[in-house]
Amino acid sequence: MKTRRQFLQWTGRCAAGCALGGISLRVLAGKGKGAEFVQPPHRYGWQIKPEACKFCGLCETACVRKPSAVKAVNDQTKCSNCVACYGHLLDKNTPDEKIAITDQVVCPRRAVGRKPFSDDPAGAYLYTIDPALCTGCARCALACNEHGNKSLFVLIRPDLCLGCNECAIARVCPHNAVERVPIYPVNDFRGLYLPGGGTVVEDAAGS
Amino acid sequence: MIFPAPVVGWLRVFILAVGCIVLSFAPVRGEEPLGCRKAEGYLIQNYREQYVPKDFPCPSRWWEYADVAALALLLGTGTWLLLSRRPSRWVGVHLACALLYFGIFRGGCICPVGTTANVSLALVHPELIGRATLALFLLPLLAALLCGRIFCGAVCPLGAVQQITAARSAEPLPERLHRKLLGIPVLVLALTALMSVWKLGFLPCLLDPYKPFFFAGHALVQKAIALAGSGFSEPGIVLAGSLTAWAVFAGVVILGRWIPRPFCRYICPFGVLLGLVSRVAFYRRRIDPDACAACARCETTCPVQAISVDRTRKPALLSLSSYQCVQCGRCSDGCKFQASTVAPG
Repeated sequence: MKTRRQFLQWTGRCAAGCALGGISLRVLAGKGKGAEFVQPPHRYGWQIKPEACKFCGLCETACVRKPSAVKAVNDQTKCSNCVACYGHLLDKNTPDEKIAITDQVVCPRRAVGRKPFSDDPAGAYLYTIDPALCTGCARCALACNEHGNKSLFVLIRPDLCLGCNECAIARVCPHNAVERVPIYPVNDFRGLYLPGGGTVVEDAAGS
Repeated sequence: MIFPAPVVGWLRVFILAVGCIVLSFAPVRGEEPLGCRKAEGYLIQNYREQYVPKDFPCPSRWWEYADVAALALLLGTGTWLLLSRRPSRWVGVHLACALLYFGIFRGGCICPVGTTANVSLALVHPELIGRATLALFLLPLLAALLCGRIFCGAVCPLGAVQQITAARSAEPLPERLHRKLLGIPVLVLALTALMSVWKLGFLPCLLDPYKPFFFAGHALVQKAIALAGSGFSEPGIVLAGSLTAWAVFAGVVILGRWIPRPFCRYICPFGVLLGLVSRVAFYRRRIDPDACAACARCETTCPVQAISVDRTRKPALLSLSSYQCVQCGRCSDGCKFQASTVAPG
């Protein structure tokens, strides 16, 4: 009896050891079918694919974090610095002198900021989004992408993202725009996020 | 102490709550607004060409190594507590420390429970998980091979919430119901594996009722760090999880008062793997029939109903299921004869 029990125990231990070893071997040495890249040594995060996003605004409410880790940003290299911005004003024909004081703005939290680049009132204006006010509703980005120069977009800020194993936004995103990527810093260019590190800036003329 | 003990307890809760609220409303430095160059002849075209994109940093990858190291360390200290036969109070304090680090400080989403889904996915697509995830999956299982479900009892942040909120004198569930419910985790494990392989989502993440609590804690810690050092954090209340998630959390915590460790016993898919490995562990807890006086006190003390009494035999024979035992050590606390011990074999 004693020896039989011991034999069974050692069989079980060997089986457990083999199973654990097999799993580690498979993960460390294996390569999946159609693998595009080798695994990074670290964790994955989530990011919005800029070409797939349709700015539906679900990111604002779906994120487990309130306010959402998704923020709108303006790609300064693509912005055409209009006097009146689609992402800023509801009525693009607002007279110049009223733009600064109007409450007919796209952002319900007035997060889109407008600053003159030069002293000339008919000149260029810089647009930025205050991340402390932005909740990621993407209304500004939608307007800019429908009528404007497509410079406003939304991204998941990796410093705010809580890094869920399964992203609550990805679960509800109707356009499958949220994908699992190795977690890397992102910048406010409208970039493609590559697992090799860094971002590739899309050719502004090409798109 | 001037105040009676319950008052001190409530005072602590009150101070903690006030601290959280103050932290929520504390003003945080925002990011500096975009600077405008007004130099003569500086054109908007030049500005665009020379614009330096602002980086939104991600958490350092050293955190992942730190997590693996912390898990290894906590499993090590937990094993030491177990093998040196410390009272269960020590294990409880150890568990609370683990809750503070893994649950609150790190947000609870680096938990080995969730890695069951990641590792199932990795069996088909190995490139889709990181090595840190694999380490988080393997370490508790290796510890279980050494001395049982020490992870559940001394390290798991999910288990910690349940252990802290459970009443000491909870009535055990009826044996037949308990036996039937034990099948659910196996089902959950199978579903977890299938759902990950078929890319239908990560089941443990959907089932985890403690997520809003962990995430809210983590968001507050992030905010405290941003306040103390540099970095951006939003002003106002940073909350995590929907109202439904919080309702589920509250429900499970209240239910857990009378049914200790409901998640561990009747849902957790990782517990199945740990339990299976624990059955063949090198060190296992067992009840020595020679020392046992068959008072069966441990049967009611055990929070996970791992001890069963065969009353048909005279004297009654107590047996302990290594599959269910989470190594909390309460049975040996209450035993006058030191019959419940961790022994090799």
